[in-house]
Amino acid sequence: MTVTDQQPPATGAAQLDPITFSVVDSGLRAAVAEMKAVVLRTAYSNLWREAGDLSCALLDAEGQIVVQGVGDIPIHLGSMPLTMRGVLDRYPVESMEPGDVLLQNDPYRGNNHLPDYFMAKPVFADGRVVAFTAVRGHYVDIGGPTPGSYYTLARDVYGEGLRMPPVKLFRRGVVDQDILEIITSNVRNPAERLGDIRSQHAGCVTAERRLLDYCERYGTDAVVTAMRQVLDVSEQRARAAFREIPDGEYTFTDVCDGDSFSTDPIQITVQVTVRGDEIAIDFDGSSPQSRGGMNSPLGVTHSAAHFAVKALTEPHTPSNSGSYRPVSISAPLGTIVNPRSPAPVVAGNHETSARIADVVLGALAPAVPDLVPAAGTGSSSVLIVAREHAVDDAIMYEVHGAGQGGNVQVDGANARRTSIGNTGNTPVELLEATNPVRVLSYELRTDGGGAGRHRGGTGLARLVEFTEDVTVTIVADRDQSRPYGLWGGSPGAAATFELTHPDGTTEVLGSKTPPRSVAAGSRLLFACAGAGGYGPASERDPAQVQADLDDGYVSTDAVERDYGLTVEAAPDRLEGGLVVVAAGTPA
Amino acid sequence: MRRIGIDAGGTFTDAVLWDEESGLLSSAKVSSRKDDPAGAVLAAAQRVVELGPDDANHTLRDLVHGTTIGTNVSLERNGPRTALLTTRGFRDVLEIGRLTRPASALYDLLDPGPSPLVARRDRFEVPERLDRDGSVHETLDEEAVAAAARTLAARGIPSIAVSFLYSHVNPAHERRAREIIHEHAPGVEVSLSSDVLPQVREFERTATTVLNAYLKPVCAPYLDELTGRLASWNADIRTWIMQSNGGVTSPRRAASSPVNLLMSGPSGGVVAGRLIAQQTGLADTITVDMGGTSFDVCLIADATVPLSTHSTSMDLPVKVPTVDIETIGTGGGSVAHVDSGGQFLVGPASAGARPGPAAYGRGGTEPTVTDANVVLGVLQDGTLLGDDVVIDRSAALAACARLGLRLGLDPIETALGIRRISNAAMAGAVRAATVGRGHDPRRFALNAFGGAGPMHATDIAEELAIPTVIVPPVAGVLSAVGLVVSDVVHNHGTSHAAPMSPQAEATVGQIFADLERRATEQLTDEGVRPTWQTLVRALDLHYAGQNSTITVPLDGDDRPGWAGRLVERFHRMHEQVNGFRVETEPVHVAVVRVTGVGRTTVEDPAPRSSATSSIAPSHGTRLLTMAPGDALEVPRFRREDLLPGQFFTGAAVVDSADTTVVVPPRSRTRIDDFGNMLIHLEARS
Repeated sequence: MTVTDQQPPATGAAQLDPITFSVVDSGLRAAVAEMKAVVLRTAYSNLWREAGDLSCALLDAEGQIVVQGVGDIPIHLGSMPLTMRGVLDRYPVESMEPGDVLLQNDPYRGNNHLPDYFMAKPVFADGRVVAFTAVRGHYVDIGGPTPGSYYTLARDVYGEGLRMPPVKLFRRGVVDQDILEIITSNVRNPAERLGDIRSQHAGCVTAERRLLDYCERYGTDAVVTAMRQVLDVSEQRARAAFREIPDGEYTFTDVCDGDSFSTDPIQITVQVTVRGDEIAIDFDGSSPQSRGGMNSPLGVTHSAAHFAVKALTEPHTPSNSGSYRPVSISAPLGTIVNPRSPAPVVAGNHETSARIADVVLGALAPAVPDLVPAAGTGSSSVLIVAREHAVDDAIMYEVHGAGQGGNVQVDGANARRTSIGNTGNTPVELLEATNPVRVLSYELRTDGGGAGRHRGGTGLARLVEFTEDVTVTIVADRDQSRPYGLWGGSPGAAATFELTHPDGTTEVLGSKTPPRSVAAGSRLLFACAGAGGYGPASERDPAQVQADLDDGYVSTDAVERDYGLTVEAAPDRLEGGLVVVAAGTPA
Repeated sequence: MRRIGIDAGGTFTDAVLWDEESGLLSSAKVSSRKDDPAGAVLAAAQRVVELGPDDANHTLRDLVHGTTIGTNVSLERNGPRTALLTTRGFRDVLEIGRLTRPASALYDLLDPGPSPLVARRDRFEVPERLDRDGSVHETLDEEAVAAAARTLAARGIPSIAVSFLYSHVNPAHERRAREIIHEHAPGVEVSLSSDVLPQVREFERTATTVLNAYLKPVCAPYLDELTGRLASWNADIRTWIMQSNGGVTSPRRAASSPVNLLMSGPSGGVVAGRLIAQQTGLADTITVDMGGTSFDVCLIADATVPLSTHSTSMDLPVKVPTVDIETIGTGGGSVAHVDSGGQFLVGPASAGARPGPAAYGRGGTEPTVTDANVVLGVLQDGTLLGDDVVIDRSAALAACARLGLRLGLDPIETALGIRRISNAAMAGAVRAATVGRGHDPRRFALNAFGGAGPMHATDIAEELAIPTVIVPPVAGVLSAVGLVVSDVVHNHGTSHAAPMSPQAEATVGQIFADLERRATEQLTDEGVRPTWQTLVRALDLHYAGQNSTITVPLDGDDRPGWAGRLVERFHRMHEQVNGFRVETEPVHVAVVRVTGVGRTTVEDPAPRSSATSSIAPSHGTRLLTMAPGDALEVPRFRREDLLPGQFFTGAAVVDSADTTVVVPPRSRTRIDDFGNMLIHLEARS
């Protein structure tokens, strides 16, 4: 019995019958789901336990990703095979022993950026490594000059915090105290780091146990074969989906709005070539690598490009290394999408990467216009706040980027993470419990979404008052450029970051504001970009424009300017005191 | 005295008449009425009394009702227009939520997300602000509240939720806002977040309160009407409503906090599971309920109804304590198919009731789990289901044959495959509920009900080395039985963040005392006599730094030093659930909980009989296929013929009106004194 008649298995490799295969496959998925549950239950940092900035996976002995966690962060996952490759280059499988646990965060060995620490545990069955269980999580602080380790003035990766080459954190079940001490001697709030590390380890152990149960129940060979078949099946699914895209060469260019040294635009250019059931993605023509931390290491570029292709072609089937096989990616060395070591990379992970996904999607819009929405907010829009005069203290790390572009069917979602990220927020009532902030408002932006037949999502705005002297860092984007509209739709509103000092004077901050001192009593308006509209605004149903006006998603000015309609006062109207009329028509 | 239990479902309303001394007297099933649900409840009550003893109507004391009224409104999203009043600057918290997109939409760029339950124009903001210690940073702008109330009244909105920041610490502003709304918008229902869920995290508190406000204008009139109609039928009867927490309350209290009714229906089944755990003496059981579209798992350890605060409704979190049931989308109607990658999969698509399985002859052509059961002989060709469906094995066989062609399998192998793949998914759900939380399934018994549960239960048990399967009698009206044996239950919880030190014993003890006073008041108000009241203390604990908590019961320990003993217990529970403990880490309390439990009936009834052992009489045979090329002719039993004390060994099928039990080889089956069927599986060699 073969799983598929489309492609015979390579070199006569053993195949499970289709029933046993599906039975083991559902077990593998359950193991990774359980792993994620344990990590979330036991994590310490707000960023993990509340916002979920971590991802789990099961990899095979070669380091290919077989199963990823439910609802995990796409940017964490596409790069995992490269990160695991980085581990295996230093510690080949033969050098591993039962009870070992590997750790690394090196962007130049396949990792994302320094804060994302990757932990993997080899699973031994019948005396050999059959798989790795892995958790990648964002450590809130990994040292460097300022709290939160987003020092965007660093000239190189050495300035960005503690870099950990692939090491054995555990050897034969015994933790290496030296490595733990290196970590705790280099990071702020080490107790919280240790809590997260324990939780990461508990996750790896949980999935390992479950996998061993399956090896006992079904036989190790069956489990190993099932993992291989999972990849083969996903490859076939991807190829089937790619055949639906018209062949052709599609190009697109967009920009990021500079780094902490310069606001000059950073260009990302892509050429996507679709031929039958394969897709080639080439970033030739993109800007040279940046001086600040906007560089996207190769692993991040892979994650972002794979995300875009997967989202377009088969969004509802599992994503893994098999899905990626028919995709080839070319990223010239020394450019923004594949920097030379030791260029700094901290911001590229979620800012440049968002643009990489945007250009791949934008390129394919003419090929599959019904599948590509206008651009989302396109930035994680990170705000980091820490007390100026305290050490080993709480660090506030909040993402804000949220808003999806309009699409052929509907308006874009208003306040939702999109694209490569899926980290959430922290409740205001918990943020204020440990951080020197008072949140004065947290709301949707009026006129944030680009006009169109289907309006873009509005984006988010937060007004924060600092109750003590603080260090503030902003790593965001789209304060100069705007998320693109499609097919006549308008781009989303640009981001704005406005600081009001205690004396009432104001100052506009850039989207890459390196760590700076801010006095107690200051207020920061932090507004992320909105998302693009889809189709001409003139085609929007006036009833929807009226509803948007009543709900305050758009203003009177925007109705008149963007939709060419007139707004008149209607004091007796129950749903709101303004009525939309066609231009020149009396109410 | 006697009690009626009425479980109103989407299709049928089930009723049982129960005697406190002798147990079940009669049961009945009537069709549910979408346009008149109270009428169906009354009809079911009258029917079950007619079927009972002659004097039944004069000896009735209680009627306990499990309702899906709230669930239906949430599923169809057809509730009334609802408003929200918030702290200025925070009206969008409801729409922003936690920002993340659900796993199902992770790669779906076109998913629009849920539309907010309260339109933005109906989300009103007023100047007011508390700080995190509850102190007033900005006073409440009463005129702004009045203006919002007037707009609300003008728009004809019947219900509003009020959720201000930190109202769980200081509810004064919310309470004053309620007074002002009552004054300026009389007749509008007001739900305060400090009443519904006085706990930290503004989005979750707001969402739960908004759901309460959304359900109120539907649930309150229904409960009012129902109480009135029941009273005019029998003036002596007292009506109780089952809540999501596995306990009942008065209709008046249920109407004021309808967010507690979202799982009213399934609650009855879980309480019935506890009853069976008590009857069989198998205190650790896993209930599995498999119907046409889903498979529900609930772990009842130590005969205790498990609660969680992680349920959702209409894409919003419901943080009130709710029976902890995990659901996966595997049911009799799950469709088997081969996907674009060539993988043999069962579900997630379901054929539902229409077109339904191929064997139903209603136009379904794709093989479902039910079709596999028909092909393999679990369900007999020609069986009449309901009024109009006659099982057609040839249609099921043809559907399996078509799919098998694509897989290189014959129709029997295909049907076996559908069973194995769906059993694996269900075993995975049971594994997650047990092993995934640190429980060894080999210590548990599997309690199977629902139309399809008993067809798959022994396979699931064998997969997990669970030694015993229980199939209760009257599986068709089991939830109604759960209703009549339930207690009054009220959960009280309040956020309190502090280290678990010896000093905490005083402060936490004070909070316990306050909550206990409230709990006692409520139970007394419900008419529960003092000797039938029990108060249960528990704390949600976590390692300082963690946010995810474990609810640790005090088990009556209030001797000085209890805090230290509780911490040790927390370490143990953390290790069991998560695989490790950290002795050096301080342990903190997050939520103080008191549960008020009021017994409503005397002790559970004695077994109906204690018959001597005898061999069960079979009723013909059935050809059953449970392995490729291995059709077995097995004895067929009729469930209604089986009496307490009877037993048989080896493979069999047991038919009843609503299900078939598959009994595997190498097993011993016995009917216990309560009529439960106990199947003991021999360990796999």
